Amino acid sequence: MSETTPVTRKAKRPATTGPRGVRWLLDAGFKYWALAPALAILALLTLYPAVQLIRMSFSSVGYAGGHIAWSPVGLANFTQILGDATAMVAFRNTLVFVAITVACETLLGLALALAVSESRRLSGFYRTVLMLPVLIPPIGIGAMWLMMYDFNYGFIDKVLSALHLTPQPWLATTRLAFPSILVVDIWHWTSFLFLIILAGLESLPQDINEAAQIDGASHFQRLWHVTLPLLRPTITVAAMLRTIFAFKIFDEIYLLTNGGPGDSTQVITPYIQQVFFIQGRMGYAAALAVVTALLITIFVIVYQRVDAALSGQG
Amino acid sequence: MNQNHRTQAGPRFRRWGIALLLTAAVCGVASAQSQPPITILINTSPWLPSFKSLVSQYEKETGNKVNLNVVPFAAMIQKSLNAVSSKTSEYDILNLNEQWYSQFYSGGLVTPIKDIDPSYTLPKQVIEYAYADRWDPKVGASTKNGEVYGFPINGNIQLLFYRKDLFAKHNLQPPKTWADVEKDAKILNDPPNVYGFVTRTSPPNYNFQAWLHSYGGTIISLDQSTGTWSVNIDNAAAHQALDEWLKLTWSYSPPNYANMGQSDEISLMASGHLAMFIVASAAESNFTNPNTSSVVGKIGAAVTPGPTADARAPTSGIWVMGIPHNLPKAKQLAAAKFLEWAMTKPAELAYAKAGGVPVRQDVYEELAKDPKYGWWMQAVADSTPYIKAQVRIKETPQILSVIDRVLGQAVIKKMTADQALKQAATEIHQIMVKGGYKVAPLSSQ
Amino acid sequence: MRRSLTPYGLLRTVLIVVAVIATLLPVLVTLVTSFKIPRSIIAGTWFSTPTLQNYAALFTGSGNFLRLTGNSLIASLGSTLIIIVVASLAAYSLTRFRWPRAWTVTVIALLLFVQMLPPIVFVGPFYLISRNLGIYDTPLALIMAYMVLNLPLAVFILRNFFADVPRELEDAAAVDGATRLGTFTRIVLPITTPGIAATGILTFIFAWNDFLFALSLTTTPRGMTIPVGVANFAQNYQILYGNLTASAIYAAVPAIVLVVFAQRYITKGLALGAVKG
Repeated sequence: MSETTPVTRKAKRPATTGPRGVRWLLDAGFKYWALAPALAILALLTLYPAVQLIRMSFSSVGYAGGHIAWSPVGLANFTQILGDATAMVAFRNTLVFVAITVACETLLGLALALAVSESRRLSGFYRTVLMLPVLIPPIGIGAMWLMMYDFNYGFIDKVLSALHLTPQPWLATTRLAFPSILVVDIWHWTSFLFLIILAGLESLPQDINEAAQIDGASHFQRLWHVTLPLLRPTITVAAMLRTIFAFKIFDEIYLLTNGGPGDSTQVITPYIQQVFFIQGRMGYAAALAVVTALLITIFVIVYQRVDAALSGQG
Repeated sequence: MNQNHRTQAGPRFRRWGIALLLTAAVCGVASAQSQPPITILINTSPWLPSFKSLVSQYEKETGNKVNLNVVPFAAMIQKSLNAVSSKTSEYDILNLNEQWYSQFYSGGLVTPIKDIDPSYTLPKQVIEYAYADRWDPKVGASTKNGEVYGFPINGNIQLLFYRKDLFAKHNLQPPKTWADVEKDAKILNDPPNVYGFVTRTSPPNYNFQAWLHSYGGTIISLDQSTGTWSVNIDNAAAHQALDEWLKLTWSYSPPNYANMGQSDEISLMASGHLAMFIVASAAESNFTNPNTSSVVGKIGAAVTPGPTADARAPTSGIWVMGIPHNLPKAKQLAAAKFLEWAMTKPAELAYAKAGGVPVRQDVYEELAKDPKYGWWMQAVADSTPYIKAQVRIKETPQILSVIDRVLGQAVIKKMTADQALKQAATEIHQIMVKGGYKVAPLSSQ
Repeated sequence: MRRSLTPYGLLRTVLIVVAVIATLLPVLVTLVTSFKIPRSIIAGTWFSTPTLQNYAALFTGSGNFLRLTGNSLIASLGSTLIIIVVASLAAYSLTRFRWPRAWTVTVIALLLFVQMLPPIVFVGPFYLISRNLGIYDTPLALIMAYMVLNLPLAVFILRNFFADVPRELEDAAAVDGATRLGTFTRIVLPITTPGIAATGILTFIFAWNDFLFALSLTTTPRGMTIPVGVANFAQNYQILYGNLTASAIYAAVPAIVLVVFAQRYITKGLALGAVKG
């Protein structure tokens, strides 16, 4: 991991020119004030909501007499989750959803980034097209895919009918609804991984690769032994960020299936919002949010471990 | 100006008489109607244009200013809760859905009208939709004995919409019983051109309640004399209702029946692929607007059916407007004055003619013969005596989410109807116990 | 010489062509839909006389999309600009300087934690803050929100790019007498342009597409952004597919223009030139 890399500034600094204070600001002090704005923003604007969330998850919170009334309930909100059938299904669906989409999107994003970075002709066109999905507002993406999937007027079923095949209710059977949502997500978010990995590829030092080419290494050997190891940190970060976002899937499902049929596409973020706002059970919603954050943490730790193990091998 | 309007303005005039006289002496032109400007939070919907015209009518008549903050439907609950949780609400009137309002009434987040304008009483002709406008803090529910907390503003109830032309072609009358529905759906079912009948399965609770209540069932009920609640969703009536609802869901719907949302059903009807269905009255504009409808002039409306022609149960799904608790008195009064004005007959009549869903019985009766609106307003006027309430306690959204989940499982046959209702009863009973209500034990236990 | 069709080259071409077609198909279907009258859309008619009414409604109806576009641009570009400056400084400081390990881990954990929380956690507090500061219902409130939400993402991605910068370059600059700030601006930033461009594109896009905060921190067209305007067409009694698809297409256009412009910076040339220079 990069933050543990020992920093070695062997070069001797020349004698200071100009006033000491200014020199310190530009030089030795740089590392402090460079970090300060980011920390200040986060401390001012996120610490309070974060602490409040955790406090809320151990409380019963509701409106009474025009005010928000808090009362501590210990772990009751957390134990309640185990008996909540909707929450359990939502967590299970979310985990499956995250695992499948992130794996597919990372592989596809990597493959496309490799392919596009090597193509000479139409490179700008490919890049723009492949970034397109992530530029459309998610609620618009829901509408777009309704136009594809709807049983009565959707494009796919119209084509199937025209070909004398049986139209399918893509969003309305337990067998098809979940995979249909996966397709939308992969369509939408592969572009995110594509973009980051492409940028990573483009900033790799070229001389190593060229040296390998001169040494007669095959295309595949260069990819496997040179490019991928160098690209590994970028891929890890991109996949990790995508994992965090995938846990928050909301808008696409809202328009496409609204969690149905039955609870086959119920995921956790829409459920948290429903419990928080519509049901007004803020304490319980906070507990669900904390559990979600813990699940994401597990994923993140696994990524870090895998990444460390791979870097050890390399 | 109408008489009704003047009589309501009267008592306030007396109360504020001195102040007004002083103001009049100073300005010379002060009007009895003069109120500070107010802001209303409202969502986009097919009835928004009619509400806008209601507002501009009020501005013209009184000279008072009303701002509309129009936001997406999905934002309503969140924005309303934010507003009532801050020091001073940014909105003077909130538009509240029947499935959410209990949180606002029970939490004291909106102020009862008697605390703002004590002399006001709701006109007799205003339909109360089984007391959705009232709240009784003693029992924690909307009851006849409660105070008025919100003004009904959109009188949505369920209606049966059907294809007049198809029914006439086959010499059929609009169905009055579920047996009629089955018989007619079977005759008219001609997939994929026309489907006989659909139910709403995403989410299903509101649609199902038309069946549940028609069989005399309820999800929960309160015995006012003993103050005891009982959970009834597992009783014989509920079982009959669910069996009938599932049968209709599975028999005459398109293959995507298991995830049929309100807009899906409406699209199916508006595109000419559906013979009949039950939906909220506000959907009517989708069928009369030639821009969205392929079936203009071919749709009729009737009272929702029941097991017999006398046992019918259109369920209310209305919007009420409430006044936030965290407002200066003058703003609350200005908000109340607007809502009081909106309940008057001329205002409601104009609102209805602009395409709104009014809340006065006399307006429905007067417009029942109207060539433009009569086709559905007659059905609403006929429905009024049958209107049934949804669950109306603080835990309503939680209870409805249980109903939604088990019905969803029953639709996809992951649960039998028996399992679904038993499960619902157990969970709802737990919710009631946890909420601190006095609840009778479940009969099956 | 590189044009000869190797099996690898063939695979690469097939992959790209399939991906381009799969990406464009739903977009084209949506584009065609946006020119149909709503009646034809829900009837599933293949062809109908093209109409501009769905687009016209964006500028004449209740939501004035020109106003919303202005707000969207201010909020997205403003927050992106601030984030890029703040995040690259922070990421560089964290990556290239000696900090106590516990401190680094704490900062990283804090960043990750913010990113992991469901965004609704911030809705209530941000609402109160923006009303108290008097920036409620303006793009400034959104800049505040997006700054917080996207900063961790940006720091994460940039850390990774800064870590890849060859250390000899910095050392050489130090020998030449450059200050650490000077090394950062004159040596490190030019090499990491692809990473900074990619990060900027992403933070811009996340701000451009945000719906939740745009909903809760604005209430009139004074502060509303395009996704709120789009959502106005998804109503509970009807989904106005014509307007919805038209507005989705419209919303993507400014973003595409900016990305076409910005993606030119994601190329080898810049990085290579700096290293060789």
